[in-house]
Amino acid sequence: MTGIAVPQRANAETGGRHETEGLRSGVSGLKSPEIRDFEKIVAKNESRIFNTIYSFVGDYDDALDLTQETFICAYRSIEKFRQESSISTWLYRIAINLCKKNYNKRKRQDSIFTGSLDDPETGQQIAYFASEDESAAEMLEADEEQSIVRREISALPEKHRSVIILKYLQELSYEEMADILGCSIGTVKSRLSRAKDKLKCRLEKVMED
Amino acid sequence: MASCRRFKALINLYLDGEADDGQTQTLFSHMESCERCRNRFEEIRSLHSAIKSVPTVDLPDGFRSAVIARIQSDVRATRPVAPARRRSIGFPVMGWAGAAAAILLAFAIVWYIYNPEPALAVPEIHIVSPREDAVVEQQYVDISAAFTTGDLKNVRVILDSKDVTEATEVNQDFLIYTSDALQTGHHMATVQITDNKGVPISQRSWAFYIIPSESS
Repeated sequence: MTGIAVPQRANAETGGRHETEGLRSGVSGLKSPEIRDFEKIVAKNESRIFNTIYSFVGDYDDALDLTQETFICAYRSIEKFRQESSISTWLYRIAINLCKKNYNKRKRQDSIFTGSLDDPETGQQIAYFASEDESAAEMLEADEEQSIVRREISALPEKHRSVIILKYLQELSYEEMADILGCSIGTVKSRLSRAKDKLKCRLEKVMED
Repeated sequence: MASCRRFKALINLYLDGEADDGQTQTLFSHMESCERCRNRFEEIRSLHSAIKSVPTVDLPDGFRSAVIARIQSDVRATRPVAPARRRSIGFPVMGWAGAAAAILLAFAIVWYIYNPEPALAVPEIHIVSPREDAVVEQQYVDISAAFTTGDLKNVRVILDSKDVTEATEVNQDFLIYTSDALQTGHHMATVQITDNKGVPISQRSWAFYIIPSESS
């Protein structure tokens, strides 16, 4: 034996999960949505949705806008909510979709933006992302390791970023993640494994530098 | 060590809190005799700890109120209007006065077709700040818009039903209104461009929400 004892419970390594099941209650009355009922849903979910979005987009103001958009979108389409999953799963799904939309839009804008910064004489790029200096300054203030981990999560490809955020920052189950991402549990597992390999490589590289 | 590949999946399953008792037992029995898997277990566990150490971020005060205010304003805007009572427009119901009015209207249309007014180019108004439905801190509020018209005296700026044009700086194609007296809460800005008779020909209205600034 080498110091690793068989634990009593299989879930010993994970923290407590959100009580998403409890959110099913109180939703059935939303066929004709009452704003007061909806406010309770916002109150229960705003922090987790905001933190998911913030980890995804990496910008506080954008995250605020997208969180607001998530709840407005949910309110407008609440009659389409079929209660096959919990309301928080449904909100995560809306949030992730909005993040993906925002990410694709940003990617297009960034490619135009960086293109215009090429030096016409040398053809070399003068600057890459305008926000890079700001991020460096912020990192000095914040705890360095946490900032690095957050930054490297944000730098992962979108599908890998989603699974890391949902599993380790939001502590959701494979089943809930599959429901949110619209894929099988097998896909969640393999995506998560690849995402962790990539993140580990990136972090090791940063530490070496 | 080819079988260790299978155990990598089991390590992930276990550390993700998804392994059942049988899988947990199998994994730990294997790790008793496999140093490579023990090392891998520790590596993945420390990666999980690093990810989970990322702190959560707080929402600003007033965020929820801003969301609810926005939803309420949406609800008001989309509330169905009671349908107007419809009446038949046949001549017997309209009466002779109605028939005469219809004939006059037909003449007017024919006259307009043959003597059209020169078409006015409708100016476009682009919102610059705050963005539509934005949540902004009190100290950063500038209301600004760009527009495509040259006649400055025909631009009006209305904030929460109050005409603030006098206090607005209007350049050739850009306007900016700055106020440090805006209260927190929901606001509605309108930029209007009128023709020479004062009739609006282009208008943009947008809502935004002010929250207390962090330093206050």
